[in-house]
Amino acid sequence: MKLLIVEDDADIQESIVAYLQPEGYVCEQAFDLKNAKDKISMFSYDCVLIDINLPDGSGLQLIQQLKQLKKTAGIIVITARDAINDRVKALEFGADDYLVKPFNLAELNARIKSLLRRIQFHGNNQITAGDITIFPDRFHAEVGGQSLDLTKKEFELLMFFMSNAGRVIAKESLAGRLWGDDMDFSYSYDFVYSQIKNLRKKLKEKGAGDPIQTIYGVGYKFETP
Amino acid sequence: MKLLTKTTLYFITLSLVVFFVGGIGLYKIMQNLIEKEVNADLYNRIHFIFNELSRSDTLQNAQFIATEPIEIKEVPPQDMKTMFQLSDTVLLNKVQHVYMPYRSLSTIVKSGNKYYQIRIYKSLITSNYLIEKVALVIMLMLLLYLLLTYFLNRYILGKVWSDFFDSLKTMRNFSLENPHREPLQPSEVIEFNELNHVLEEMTDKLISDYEGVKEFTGNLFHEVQTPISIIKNKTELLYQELDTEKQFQLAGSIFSATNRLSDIIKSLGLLARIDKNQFSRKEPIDFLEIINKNLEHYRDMMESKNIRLKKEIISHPKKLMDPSLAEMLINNLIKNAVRHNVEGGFLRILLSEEVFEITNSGNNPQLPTTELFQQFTRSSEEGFMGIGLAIVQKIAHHYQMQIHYDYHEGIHRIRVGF
Repeated sequence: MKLLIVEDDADIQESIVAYLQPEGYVCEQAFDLKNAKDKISMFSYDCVLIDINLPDGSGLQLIQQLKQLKKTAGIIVITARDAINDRVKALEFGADDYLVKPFNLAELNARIKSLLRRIQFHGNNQITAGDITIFPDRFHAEVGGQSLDLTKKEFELLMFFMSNAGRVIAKESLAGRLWGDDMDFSYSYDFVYSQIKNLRKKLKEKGAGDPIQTIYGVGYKFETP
Repeated sequence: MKLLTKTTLYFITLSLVVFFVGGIGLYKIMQNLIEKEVNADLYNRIHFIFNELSRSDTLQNAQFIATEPIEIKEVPPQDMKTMFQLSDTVLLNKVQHVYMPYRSLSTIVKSGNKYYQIRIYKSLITSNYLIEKVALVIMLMLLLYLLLTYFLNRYILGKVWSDFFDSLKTMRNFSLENPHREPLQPSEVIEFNELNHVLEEMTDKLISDYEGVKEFTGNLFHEVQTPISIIKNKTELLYQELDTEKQFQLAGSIFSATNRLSDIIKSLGLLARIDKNQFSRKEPIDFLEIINKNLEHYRDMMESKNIRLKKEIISHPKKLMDPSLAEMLINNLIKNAVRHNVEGGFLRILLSEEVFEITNSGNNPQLPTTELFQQFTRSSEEGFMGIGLAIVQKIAHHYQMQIHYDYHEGIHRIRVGF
């Protein structure tokens, strides 16, 4: 899998690359619009991550160019919070998803995975970790062939965990995943705790053990043997 | 009190005082003059009688000389010191049968061996009449003068102050929602020009300060996003490298604090953007649809808290609003009612053409409900809850909606009147 990350801030670039590389992606970097345009005209990518605010222009131009070149790459844009217009335009131009700064790397990772699955498997995809298999498009989960009955939120949590398997995930990222862009909701984690408790119980009942490990003061880590 | 009313009132009061004092003074002076005149006439006539007496030693002709009523009566012999006595009296008019005011002068004279008291009179009718007429003329003049000055005052005031009222009108239209300065009309009056000048300077300062603050906040909200992103992302990366619980706790604190900072900036930025009128789309908003969407969003959370939901939809209002603001308004209210609800509590929603009302069980906020709309009002251990309500209030005010919050014995009720 080849990704192009278009972002002018070197620190953010570095973080994204550092988080995504262990997933097995080949990450290429572009720090401005000109460089990014050169790269997309020469190479093909599976996914392009575009910051709309670039020093030499708008990332929207890059989306247009990708569409003109008939590239099949998935497009995720990163926008500033107050740039709702950019977001709407980006989706109109053909972006597949958007993230609002400041975002969580775990969330970014999950979004990229989900987008790549959508592009590659055209809806017939599945994620497997140990005995657990989930079918994102059907909202269906199984443990060793046995159907796992989950609520929508539990399913979302499990999928998020599996997308970030082996990573330490902050409880804030989980709350953000459940409540979307809702501000200040992340302060009540009780709901996250209770959902995870239920999820653990259900996994255990189906014999999947306890892949969700609590990391005190931080969050959780999903790991299957 | 209007400027015109105030000046007119002052003017009339002062004029009345001046006229009253002046009128009394004039009256007294005239009275004095006429009295002197009358007295002089009486003395004149009595001397005439004396002359006659010394010439013919008889009072026979006195009646004719006096021309007006005269009394002559014999009195017992007495010390012949010439003395005059003036006094006011009334005499009966035989024709009209009324008493008329007179002034009399009496003295004692000696004719032959006999003493007589002579008393002559002069009518005061004409002089009183004169005073009356003069007073009337003065009164009329006063009235005329007051009337004239009243209208003149109105006219002059309107003329002189018109530039002032023009400036006032221009200033009244000034609004920070759309900060620009309308030029003030130059005036012939130096003071008004000075006032205009000061107003213009103040307005320019206000606009530049406001723009400065706006730019500052805009830049702040925008520029801090990158460093916050970096801290968050680096902490997430750091998480993957850590081993000990102590290290995780430290990193966890950094991450939580950064998230909180990010949320605060987010909320303040949102408030500033509402202020800056950046949400100006106008679309018919289906409130019921938004309410249902949000209730669905929080359904799991309500279920986990065993909250009973009751919906009372009386009508299906559609209001012209910015869709993002409408969403935020409803979302914040429902979120608030769910989040601050109690285990096994209730949530009731009422929607009609005029009102959206959300009632829920909850703990005592420990604060007056009006303060809960303030930004960052701290209540409960769940961190700052006020920001959501501050946003609600800001949106409500933005659309001139009435918003009312009351709390009574475990029941919170927020009512938004469209």
